[in-house]
Order: sequence, then C-alpha cells, then structure tokens
Amino acid sequence: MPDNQLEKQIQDLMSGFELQPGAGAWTNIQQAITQPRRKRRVFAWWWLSGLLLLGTGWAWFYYEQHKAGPAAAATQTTATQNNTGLPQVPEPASKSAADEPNANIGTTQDATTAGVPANKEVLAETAPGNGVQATAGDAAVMRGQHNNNNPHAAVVANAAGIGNNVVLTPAAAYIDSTVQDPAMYGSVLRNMAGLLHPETLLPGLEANQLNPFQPLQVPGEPHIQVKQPHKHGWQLMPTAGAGVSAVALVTRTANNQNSGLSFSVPPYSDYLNLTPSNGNSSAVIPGATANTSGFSWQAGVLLDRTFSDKWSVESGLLYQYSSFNAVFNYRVPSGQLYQSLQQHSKYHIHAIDVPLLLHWKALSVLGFSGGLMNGFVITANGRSTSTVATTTAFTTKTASIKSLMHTYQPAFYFSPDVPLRTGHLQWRIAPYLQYGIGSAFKITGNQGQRLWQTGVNVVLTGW
Amino acid sequence: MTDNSRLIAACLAGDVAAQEQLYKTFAGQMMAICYRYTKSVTDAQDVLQEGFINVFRCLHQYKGGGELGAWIRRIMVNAALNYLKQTKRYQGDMVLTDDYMHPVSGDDPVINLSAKELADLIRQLPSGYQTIFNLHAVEGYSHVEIAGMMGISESTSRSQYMRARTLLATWITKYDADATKKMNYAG
Repeated sequence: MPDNQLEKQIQDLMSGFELQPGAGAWTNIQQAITQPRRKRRVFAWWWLSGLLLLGTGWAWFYYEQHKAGPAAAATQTTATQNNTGLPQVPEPASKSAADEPNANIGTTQDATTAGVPANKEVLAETAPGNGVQATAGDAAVMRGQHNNNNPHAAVVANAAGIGNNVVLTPAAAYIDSTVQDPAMYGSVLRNMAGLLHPETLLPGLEANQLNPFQPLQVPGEPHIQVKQPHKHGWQLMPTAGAGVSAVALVTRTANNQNSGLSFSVPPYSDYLNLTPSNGNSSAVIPGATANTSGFSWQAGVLLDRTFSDKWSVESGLLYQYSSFNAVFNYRVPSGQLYQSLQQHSKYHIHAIDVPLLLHWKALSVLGFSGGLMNGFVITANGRSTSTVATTTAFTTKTASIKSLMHTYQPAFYFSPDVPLRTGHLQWRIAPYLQYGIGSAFKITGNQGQRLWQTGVNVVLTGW
Repeated sequence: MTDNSRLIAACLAGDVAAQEQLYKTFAGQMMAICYRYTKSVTDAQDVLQEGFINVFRCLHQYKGGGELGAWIRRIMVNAALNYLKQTKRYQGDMVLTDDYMHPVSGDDPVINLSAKELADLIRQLPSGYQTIFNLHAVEGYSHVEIAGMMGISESTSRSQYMRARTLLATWITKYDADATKKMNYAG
C-alpha cells in the first residue's frame, strides 16, 4: 500500500467519492441476470463445432468411398434362410426378384465337388443367372463364375460336413476388373460346419471394388509440448510423444483395383502392399484378415512465432521412429483349388516430420490449428515371412526388404484446441485430425493413397 | 446473522427486491470506481452493469470472510480491466509507450480539489497510465499484482506508474495555481 503523501491524499479523497449511475442501469442488470448465461451458449458452440467437424469428416470419407460407383447401396444385403434351411443370398435392391431367372437355391448347374476330401477347397462353377449348391461333405469353398449377360449369379452353400468351413464368394468378386456393372453385387456368407445358419455377412463388398482391403485408419500418438505462456515473439517448444496402434480384421474391398492388400503404417499414413504369389492382386478372396500392431515415438523442437493472443504459427523438426508387426491371412485362387497364405512382417521406419501450422484462438475456451504436416521417410527396413499352404504342400519363404526412401508425404492437419487447468498447471488439449495425401511408403508399387489419422496433442502452457 | 448475510441469502434465493437493495447500497461507490477507469460516463455505466451482473452471478462464491463492499469492488475493477481490454477505442491508448516521458518530481503537491475534480484529472491520463495509477495509488495493488493483471512486466508497471504520478502531480499543481489565479482576479 502506498504511504506517500500524494497517494494518501488521493486515497482519502477517493474513499468517499460516489457517483449515481443512470436510472436505467438497474433495469438492464436485472434483465441480464434473469436471462440464461452466455457461457452456456459458448459451450453449445463448442459442441456444435465438434459435431460440424465430425460431420464434415464423415461426409468426406463417405464421398471418397462411394464416388467410384452408385452400386454401393446394392451391397447392403442381408442373409436369410429359406424353407430348406439353407442360407440364401438376397437380391440386389436395384432389381426385383422377377428380373432374376433361377437365382434361387437348388438350381445347381455345376457343383462338381464329389470326391474332394474334407477340409479341402474346390470351385463350383455356376451357369449364368443360376446359383450353386454344395453337397454336404464335399465342398469347403465354392466360387461363382460371373457372366456379363446375367451378373446375378448367386452362390449358396450348404453345410460341408463336420470339420469343414464353407465360404461363399459372389460372382461379382471375380469379374474382370475392367467391367463396370453397377448391378453386380457382392456378399459373402460363411456357414460354419455343422451349423446350418448363415453366420457372417461381410460388409462392404462393392461392385468394381475387387480388393479385399481398405486402407486402414490408425490412431496417432499423443504429444506433449511445452509453450511459455503469454510470450509474444519467437520461442522454442520442446515436444515429444509416443503411442501404440493396433488394427485388426479388415474384410472390405478396396478402391484401388491394382493393389493387393494394403494397410497404413502408423503414424505416417504409409502403406504396405502385398501382391499374392500368383501375381494377380485382384484375385485375393474377400474375407481376408489383417492384424497390425505398432509402436512409435517422436521427439523434436518446434519454433513458435506468436503474433498476438489470437494468432501464432509453428514449424520445426521432429524425428520419428515407428516399428510395427503385421500378420495377413488371405487366399487366392490357384487353378481349381485355393492357396492359403499367411504372412508375418516386421518393419522399422525412420522419418522426419516438418509441420507448418497456424493457430488461431477463436474464443477463450476454443481455438483452432491447421496446416500441413510434411513427412519425409528416410529409411524403412522390413523382414517378412510368408507361409503358403495348398492342398498338397506347405512352403515358407523369408525375405528381407531394406530400402532407402526419400518419400515426401504431406498431410492436412486440423485441430480444435481446448484450454484446461489442473491445479497450477495450464494445458491445451488438442485432438487432431490429419488427412494424408500423395505418395506413400511403397513396397510393391501401390499407387498413392489417402488416409485419415487422428490423435491428441497436449500442450503445457502455464505453470 | 448480519444484515449483509440476510441480504445475500435473499439475493441468492432470487428475491428481486433484495437484489435491488444490494445494488442501491453499492451503486454509488462502484460507479465512482468505474468512472475513474473509463473516459466517459456511458462507458462507466457499461462497466458498472457488467460488474454488477458478475456480482449477482458469482454471489454464491462470496464466503463472507471479508467485507462485502471490498469483494464487489474487486469484481468491479476486474470488469473495468476487461472492458478496457475488449473496447477498441481504449486499445491504442492502452499501449504503454514512452510517449509521455516526464521528469520524475520529488515534490508532492497538496491537493485542494474535490474528489470529482481529482477523478476528472485522473481520467485525463492516457489509458495505460490511468489504469496503472488507479490500480496502484487508489486500489492499492502492488506492481507485481498489476503486472499479472495487465500482462506486463513489474518494471513496466513501476515506471509507467511513476510517469503517471508525475504527470498528475504537475496537473494538480497547475490546476491549483489556475484556481488561485482565478480567485485573485475575482478578489
């Protein structure tokens, strides 16, 4: 408290100083305190922003997946049982049952599976427009042949006897990849041995999408950054993060007809693509599975330039190491039989990331960041072991992949920032969404892929 | 239960008459504070309304440990600072520069002004000076506290205050001399 003469005089004078406000002041105050608080509206805005973001992301993703053809809707089929107890493949929504001659169960034209031992796989050829039925104890896997003149050749299988799995694949899954027929539809019924009910309807087998895998979305790793609060101008921000990712069982078809199996490598949205041993990637049977698990960490320094309380830009250099394992199980046609393939792979990736981000604080409770994440893969080392099982033999191949890459992979980055206080510490929680474009980590020459990636940044801004 | 406690309880219960009574009890003092921090009566009234709205919304947080008037006064000062920060026409003037450099005087004049006249002189100071002067000289905040409240360094607060003080002392002296002159002419 100032004890100077001047301050003392001023305080003495001011202590008794009063002024009467205008007559309308109380009315205004009374109206304001009886109305709902503005803060709630801010909260609503936050939720609205989140919903808008999610909706936009979903709409974009949906558009990306469905712009290849309008036949996607026709794939939403449901497995039913007919009065024979056999599973039945429904008709596509775009055509009525009357349009479809002899597409019901029991019109078997060609199911030459007699004599095939249990637990083995055979192909059952169908005539145009007709279904095919396997007899118990014979077939484990059947495949319908497509005919362009009548593409609705449905395939149905009965139980194949104890110990056998029956896998049905639709004709549409095996058409030539150049055929663009929106009426073609795909569905797969799996009827476990001895259990006469349709068990699984694999989703997403769409016309003109012949490959069984979609690019997978993987979570990014959380980061922690440290930013000096209320400091305008330049400052260095140490940042570090680590995380794990795991993705399992993909049974969808992919848009890229020229690739085999593909999945992303966290966190760089990279891809590994495998081509089946017969070289025909489009022949991979839908229903294949992939399991990946990965670990990655990242550390570096970001340079922040804060222009005002609202605007700042950020760039820097981050080193990133990723390690992941992948296991594939898939099958490809091999003559009249199938090959079952299993592949184990382990990869180590070293990369540099150069982000270029813009931060804008819209409200005291919400900010936004956006920009470009520039990923540069330096090296990628991989080791892969594949086991091929046919009806006659098992073979194991081991191959090492070591490649020097200078792949540039840009990705758009967007993040809402929400401030949080815990005791004396202030944080900025920033869940982010990243959309990668351009070239990717290529093993077998897959084309450029796109990928959504999400994670969270935690920035320590006050202490 | 004291009168204030009863009044607060009634206000929290939504009693409009009690709320109005609370407002009327402190409106005069608080308007004077708002007047000192702003450049116009309209602005002062805006700050007063915002401050009282905060008072009623945060009344449940008042623990009764200190004087109610002092608690309301702190809210009013915060409302004034927020208003100055958010109002554009105060922004240019809030920038604390050295444009108003004056030699620091060691002599403290005797103030022969009314409270209103003194408040008017304080309001003549540039906004940055005005705010720091009010916070330190009248409200009694330390320079460390002012630095935290205004997002400036302690040394800036200290130096700006000294310049504001010198400027005000000069004006008070001049104002007093002018008044004496007028009296002499009149006599």
